Amino acid sequence: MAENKLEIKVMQDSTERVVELNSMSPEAAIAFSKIITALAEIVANTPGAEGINIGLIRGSAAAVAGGTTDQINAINNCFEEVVKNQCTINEVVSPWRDIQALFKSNGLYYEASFKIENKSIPIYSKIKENKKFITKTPREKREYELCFYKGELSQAGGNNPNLHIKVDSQERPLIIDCSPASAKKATRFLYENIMISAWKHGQKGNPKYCDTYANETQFKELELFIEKYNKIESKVDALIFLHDKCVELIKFNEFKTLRKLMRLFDHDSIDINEVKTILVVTKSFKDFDDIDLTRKSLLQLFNQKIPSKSK
Amino acid sequence: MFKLDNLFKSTSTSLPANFIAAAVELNSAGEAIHAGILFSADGHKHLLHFNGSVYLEDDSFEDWYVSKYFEVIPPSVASAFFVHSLLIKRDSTPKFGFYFPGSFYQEGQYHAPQKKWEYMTCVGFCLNVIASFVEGDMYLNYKDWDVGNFEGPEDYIRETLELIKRGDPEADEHLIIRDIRRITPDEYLASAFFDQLPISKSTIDTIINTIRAKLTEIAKGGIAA
Repeated sequence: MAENKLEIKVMQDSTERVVELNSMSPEAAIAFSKIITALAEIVANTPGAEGINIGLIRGSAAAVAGGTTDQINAINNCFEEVVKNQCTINEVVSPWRDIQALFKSNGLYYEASFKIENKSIPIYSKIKENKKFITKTPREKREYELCFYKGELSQAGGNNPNLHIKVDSQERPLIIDCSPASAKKATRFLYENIMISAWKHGQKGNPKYCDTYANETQFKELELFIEKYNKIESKVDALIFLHDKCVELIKFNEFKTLRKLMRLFDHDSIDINEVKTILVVTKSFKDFDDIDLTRKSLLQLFNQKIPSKSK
Repeated sequence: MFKLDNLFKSTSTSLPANFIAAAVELNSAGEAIHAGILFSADGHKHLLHFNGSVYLEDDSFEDWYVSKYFEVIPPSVASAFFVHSLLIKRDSTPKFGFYFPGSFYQEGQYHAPQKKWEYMTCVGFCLNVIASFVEGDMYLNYKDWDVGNFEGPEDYIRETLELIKRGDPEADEHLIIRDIRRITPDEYLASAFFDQLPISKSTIDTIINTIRAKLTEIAKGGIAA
């Protein structure tokens, strides 16, 4: 039967003796106990590795996690993500980091390898020479989703102001809640095509109006931006993407589109880092007509989100 | 409010997952010899500093730093600060010199009255980074420092003047001298205690001797890791 396992061995201690289980130096014993603990945590927390047991090899200070091909592949695949700092599970990254810290410290020597269907994959050098493993921060799940709609505006206003938009494929008009001022502004599109963005809170209630777009190019540009922005998995990469978009609009003097972009982030559900990123990149242009009011609104939102003393 | 206990070591094991702090490296006598910005975004600690080149180090930096959270920067924006640092690391090209004209880094670009005079000390670099990140127009009232109260050998002034002139032979000497200044690493650390911008030298002077005494004590083993 094919052998599948992850094995980590304490090879020699600092006096270059072979490490044996029945007589270890204190430093080897400490290292070995850390390895067993880390291995147990890796097995317990790696998705797809359920059911794997840990064992020791008689005579030598080697800890082994053995299982089926699928189980060991699951650990190996997750390990590859950890190496690339792409793994978001802290309970997996942390024990691999502990193993890495052992390998990086001087004095003891180790061997580490996967065996999958009898094929050996050494991993000691990869672990030792890599930069410190860190858990990738995933994007936080948003409570609200920004959606883009276009269709014929069939109604605007009412006692609880809203917009009724006949979206092509749907029988019933979409109802978007809005402020009286927004309903009044939207009336110029009555019985015509309107393009808007709105905040949707799951299935709860009607979406809440965000902004209107008179220009299809701008509407599509922002819709596409948000679509790509939402797909970015890492928080930092998303902020860089947002920053770069603002810089691009500034570079081409597209301050009207920049204003529209900024308004998409003027909502209570937005993370404070997103607001701050926009504030930093637009600081030099804070008095520009096209964006000054929107920027002030974002600054107000920012100040509301932080404790009173640090502004 | 000034509380000396708010100084901490960068090697502390009980640091929060998000923070941004002024950081200084001490010599064995407790003098602050280098400055940087220590920050952590979602548990990932980094040190941004300028030592001839810009370094954005991860958790493995070996020297320890005495630090103070910036009162003017909320810890919740540490991720945005990380992005700010990445861009500066990517795009800036500072050179060493005792020069600070009220400049700042924005989108990694150096903004100053004379763009090509991108000279600064380790402290000047930190101030340039912070200046564009905070909302106020100025972080430090940098004009409070000048060649008149320059802390350091007079040779530094002459060398900085010669350095900038070498890079820009047409430069007006008076313009250069006007912005030659030295804000020391411990003054930079002291600035982190204040939250009303811009921070003046006289404000910093109210606590600087206390800070210096504390740093001496720390160098002798005053704060546990």
